[in-house]
Amino acid sequence: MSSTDEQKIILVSSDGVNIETARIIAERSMLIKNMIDDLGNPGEEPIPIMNVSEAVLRKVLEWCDHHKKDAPPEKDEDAESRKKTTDIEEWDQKFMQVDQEMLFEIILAANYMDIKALLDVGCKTVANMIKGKSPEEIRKTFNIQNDFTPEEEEQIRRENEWAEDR
Amino acid sequence: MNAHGRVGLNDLPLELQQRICRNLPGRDLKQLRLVSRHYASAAARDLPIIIHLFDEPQSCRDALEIARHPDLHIAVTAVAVDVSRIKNHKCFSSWIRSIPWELACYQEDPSSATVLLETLTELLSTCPRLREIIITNVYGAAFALPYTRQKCYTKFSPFLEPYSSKSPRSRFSLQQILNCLGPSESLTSLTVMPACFNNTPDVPTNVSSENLAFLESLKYFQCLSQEDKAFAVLLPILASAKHLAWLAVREFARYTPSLSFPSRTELFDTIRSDSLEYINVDGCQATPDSFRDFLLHHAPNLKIIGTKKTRLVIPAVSIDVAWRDLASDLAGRFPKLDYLALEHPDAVGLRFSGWTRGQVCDRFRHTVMGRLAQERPILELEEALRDEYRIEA
Repeated sequence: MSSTDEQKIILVSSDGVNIETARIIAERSMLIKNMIDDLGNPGEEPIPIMNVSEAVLRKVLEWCDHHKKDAPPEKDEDAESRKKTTDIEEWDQKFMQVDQEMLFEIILAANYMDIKALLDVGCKTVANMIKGKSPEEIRKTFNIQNDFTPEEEEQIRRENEWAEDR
Repeated sequence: MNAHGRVGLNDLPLELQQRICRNLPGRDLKQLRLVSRHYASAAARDLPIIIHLFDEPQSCRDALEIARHPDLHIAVTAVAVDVSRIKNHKCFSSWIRSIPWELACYQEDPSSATVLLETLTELLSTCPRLREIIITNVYGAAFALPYTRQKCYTKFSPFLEPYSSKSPRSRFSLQQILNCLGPSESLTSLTVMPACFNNTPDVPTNVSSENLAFLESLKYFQCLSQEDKAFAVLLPILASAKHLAWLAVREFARYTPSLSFPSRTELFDTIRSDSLEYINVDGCQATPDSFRDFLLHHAPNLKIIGTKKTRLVIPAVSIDVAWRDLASDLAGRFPKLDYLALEHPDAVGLRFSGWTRGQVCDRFRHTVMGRLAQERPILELEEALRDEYRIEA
């Protein structure tokens, strides 16, 4: 193991809690990696993670720890070429078994901290929660108000006929 | 925040909501669009919309409605243009009972021919993610290319029947359709199914060279059973497609007057792409020199070669010799080649047995690749792209 891997850094959550972690784990986040590269002297200065609370940051770091040996993130794929799939590996599925608030906090944190793979897992998890549900079931699951007039709803149904099911 | 002050789906930025939608198939996106006004818009851009455009007024109106829709125009990824002159279809009298009478009047009016062309032009200029054009015909749509066929399914599908040279002529020339593709810079895939294009002098016959910006982005081209006149139109197009990665050309035997496959030597002389990785040529005649030079030009990038029923046009030698000589010219020249399929090799005017043919195939593959290639099916383009095959063997 290289000295870089053993290096410790300190992250500061939005609620002011210091969390010590290994640099290799924290650098799954491109935000943190770029900050370390820019600042130099990692470990000397605590790194503020402005938008992420302690509970969410610890959860995100748990994911980063498990995936610390994964291949470096590739450039974000073109949206057009992205394959429609909701396959999630078993460990990640279990990791995402949290309440809805934590799930969306993790997604927001992954987006803010620029952790593409975690963001994908989060988005796929939500997609799986939508799959196979009726509009009413989706509203109930995510607490969404139906604001359609009957005419608007009919118009959407008509538009939907243009699209395929695949 | 929701009513309980908690973060929910509604609190994600639109960009993340759309990222979630990218993982959903069409059937679920349709349900999500019915949840609320916001999701009707947010889930629209990933709906898989393939527009079926006919020489028929309602389909053109529908297409324009999508092209002018604030959300849905982004979702259009493919257009299947059916050039059939359906008025002449033998089933037309039965269709008339179910299709509005308007159609009959429409088809009688020569000025209405511009409607389909203008609609196609508008789609290409307003739909930024439109990647694929399939030029088809209710007759030809009944043919092979299974996945493309699915995209050709339409309200006329019960009437699909095999194409033949006696199928009624379209009122459009292939040039007219190609000219509409014009300035699109997003187009990557062009499929030309068999269609009786209008080749009479009263329709435009030139492809406008300044109107072919789409050739810069064209990566995938496939055509099936093209008449020689239509093929002659396609040749200059393909000559200008410098970044073509995928080429599939399939022909069927013709009686002219004896049974033969069409000559496609000019195709092999014409195409010189800097990126060609996949070829599948089926049912063509070509001179050995032309075929060899074509393969050697693309040798550095080619990953998959499929040839079936290719007949070498060569002065009388044995078939074995014709293919053996070609193999020695190609031997060891394909650093990236993973798969080579050779089926039913032939030479014009010569006959040989199935047993000999099998030997020729084995020897050819062994000589060219230095080993016997493993058996793998040649994938259809749609199948390959759907599975993210990306032309990687």
